[in-house]
Amino acid sequence: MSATDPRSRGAAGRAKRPTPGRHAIETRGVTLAYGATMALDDVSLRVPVGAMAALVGPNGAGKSTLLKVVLGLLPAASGEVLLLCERITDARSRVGYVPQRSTVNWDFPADALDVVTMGLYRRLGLFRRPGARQYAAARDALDHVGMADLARRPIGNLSGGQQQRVFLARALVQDPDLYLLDEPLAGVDAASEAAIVAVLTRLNEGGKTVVAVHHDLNTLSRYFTWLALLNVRLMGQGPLQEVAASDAFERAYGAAPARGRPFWASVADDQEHRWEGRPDRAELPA
Amino acid sequence: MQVLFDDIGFVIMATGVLAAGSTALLGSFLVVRGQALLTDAISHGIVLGIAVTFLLTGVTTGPLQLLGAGAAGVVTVLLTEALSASGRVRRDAATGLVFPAMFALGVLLLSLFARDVHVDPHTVLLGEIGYVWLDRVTLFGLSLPRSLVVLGAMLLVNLTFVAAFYERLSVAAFDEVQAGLHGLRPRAVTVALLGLTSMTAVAALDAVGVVLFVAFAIVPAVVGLLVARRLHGVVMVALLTAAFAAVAGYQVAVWLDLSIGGCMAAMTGIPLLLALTPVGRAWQMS
Amino acid sequence: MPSFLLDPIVITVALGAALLGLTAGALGTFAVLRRESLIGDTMSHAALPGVAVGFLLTGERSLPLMLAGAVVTGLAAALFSLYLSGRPRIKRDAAMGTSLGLFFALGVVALSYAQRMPGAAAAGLETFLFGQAAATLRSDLVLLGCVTLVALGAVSLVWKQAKLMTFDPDFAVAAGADRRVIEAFLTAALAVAVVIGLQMVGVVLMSALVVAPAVAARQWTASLGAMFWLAGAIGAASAVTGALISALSPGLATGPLVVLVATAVVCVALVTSPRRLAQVDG
Repeated sequence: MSATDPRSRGAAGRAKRPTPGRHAIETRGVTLAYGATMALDDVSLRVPVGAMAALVGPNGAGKSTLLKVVLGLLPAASGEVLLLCERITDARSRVGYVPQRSTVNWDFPADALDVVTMGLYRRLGLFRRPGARQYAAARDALDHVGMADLARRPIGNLSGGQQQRVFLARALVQDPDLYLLDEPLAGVDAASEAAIVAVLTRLNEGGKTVVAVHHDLNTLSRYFTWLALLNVRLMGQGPLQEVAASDAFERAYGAAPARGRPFWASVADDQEHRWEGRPDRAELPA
Repeated sequence: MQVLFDDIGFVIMATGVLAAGSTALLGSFLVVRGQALLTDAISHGIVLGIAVTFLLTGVTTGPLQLLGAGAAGVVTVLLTEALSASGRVRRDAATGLVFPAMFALGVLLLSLFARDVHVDPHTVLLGEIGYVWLDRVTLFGLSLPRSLVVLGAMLLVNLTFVAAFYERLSVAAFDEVQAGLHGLRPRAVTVALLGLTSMTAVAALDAVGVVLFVAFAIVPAVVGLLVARRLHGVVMVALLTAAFAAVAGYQVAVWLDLSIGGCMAAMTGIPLLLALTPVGRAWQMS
Repeated sequence: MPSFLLDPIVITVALGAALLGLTAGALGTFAVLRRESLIGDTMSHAALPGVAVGFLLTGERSLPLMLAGAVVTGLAAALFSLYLSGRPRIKRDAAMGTSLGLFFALGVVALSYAQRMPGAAAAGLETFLFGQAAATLRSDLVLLGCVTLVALGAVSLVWKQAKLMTFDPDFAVAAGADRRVIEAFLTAALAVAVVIGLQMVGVVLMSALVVAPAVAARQWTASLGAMFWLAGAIGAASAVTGALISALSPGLATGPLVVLVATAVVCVALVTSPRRLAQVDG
């Protein structure tokens, strides 16, 4: 893809170059199986510090599983994981995790501000309540994601996009060096998507590493500059353009290239049309 | 002062308030976790603990019973989880199997071996709050009903636990994974919650028996959820509902010559109905 | 053959137990597959006020009336639970627990009122807590037999729809089934399964007799029809065994014995059945 292609002028034009030699995430030969099924097979991921990285792959490829192994939530059968060059347990305080919305109890009686403040609980001792300073920091984080006026809204009354932004604010308030997000833009309205991407980009420009499991291949080059392709095995990793130019997409998705367009664009088309089983309106009987 | 503790009416009401209050306090945290029916499971499971402790030690009350039955409550929950995790039995069926079986065994053992010792199945099921004023101990120079002392201690312990671990209990209920990542020990806190709930169930047995315990554990918390939007509001309303139900229930029972425990439990329904009417809906506090 | 087995009381008890165990166990299949085990527990505890009211209406023991009352309050509790779970922040289990606790409390209150009346002892109201096989009368067998026939008959009439609704509700609706009607029917069937055994097993433990046989049967078969009848057989066998032991040992309530036998069968099933089972289907 040439440098003048509009698509290549997205995030790639603005982000800093990743610092060579230091890895935000490094996994060595991570393998995990559920009974007879392989979930992850010899995955050696090396995400550089300062990357704006996307982790993509077909459904069931193990992306969420890999995130969980990286965070130490799931034990790998074999292999090692280093976060910010340290063991997971030592590095956790510098990692902000933004999970999928479905993993959480949205019926819990709390408002947006309460949830964001929860990000600061690890520093509270026994018998200690969060004070004015914690609440101020939480309000600040909500403001960053554009939700200052919704601070007191019960979380059950928030839209999917708003919930996602609350989660991001909860991570923001901890000021981590590495952000791990699991499908942060899935099922999210346009305004929320814009707000989330803006925040992530600003963070990345400030030197933070962002790694997101991303569901939408169409927006890859617009938001990210580094890519890892996973389908149980790591099919490719590296700067977005390099991976796109290789055959990694074909191997990960099993898709054939279309003439004149990069492999991954045709894969994106396939993904979009995959669930459209209905015939065109014109073809329906009168 | 002694006059107060010699007044049967006061003693019964106070016992009810302490039992209902302790139960509703801990029950609130189980309800907001989406595990309301664990209180049902625990309250039935402890009966096996009571039976076994009695068979092993010959005591029917006191710290040994609190501990033994307390452990049984936790075992009920762990056994249910293990059965459900095996994959052979769904969670709801596992719950509906384990605690009835433990309860059945406990009742059988009590019928066979504890006939003369006033822990018969009927008392265990329904309690006999009308008689709590009989069994006394001396404390601070006062002759106090034993049950009152135990429940008072239980309430203090529960309040202390909640005050110390309030934030951990919240995050564990809302987002257990995040709690773990932040080092807030959700698993340990939850087991402690279950253990204290079990001990409270044993302590409250004299007063209300196992099934009425469930009413006090769940209904006040539900009233709280209907009326309040944040956790501390839910807990406050739950405590108020429990206290009201105990006092009002006693008055109604005396007036109409009905089961005291039953009336106390049933009176939790009054605040519930109020909360469900438009009046309650309009009066939403934070 | 030991002579006690020919005792008319023992035969009555055994027959009654077999009937209710068969119905409860078989109908429990749908409850377990539809993940409604805990609704059964709610309905069972909520049956207590209905039983008491059934007695209070006539002042004497009338099993049909008491069981009818049980069904009414049981279903009312299920409905109330459904209503509550629609409110914000109230989950299904909290709604069920609320129903269970409140209705049972009302039952305890009604029981304490009823026990002051003459004839209450004869009605054996207390036995509805833990069950008492020996309280089964010959006339009860008629009721139990009829209910069993009607319940099992009704289920076999709507077998196809019930099966579809259990495994693939969306497809069933798309194919023209009325979701509400079938769900109402299956809930009513569960209510019947729960109520039929109340006198022998008691309100506190009856739901376990509905759940355990189906769970045991599930370990051995993946066919719905086979599971249905196997669960019925296990339910009947557990009930008969428990009831007979109880009838022959004065002072031992029936409910705990029946449940322990049924649970033992589940344990055996879990240990001896093949490791992996196919999804339950036709």
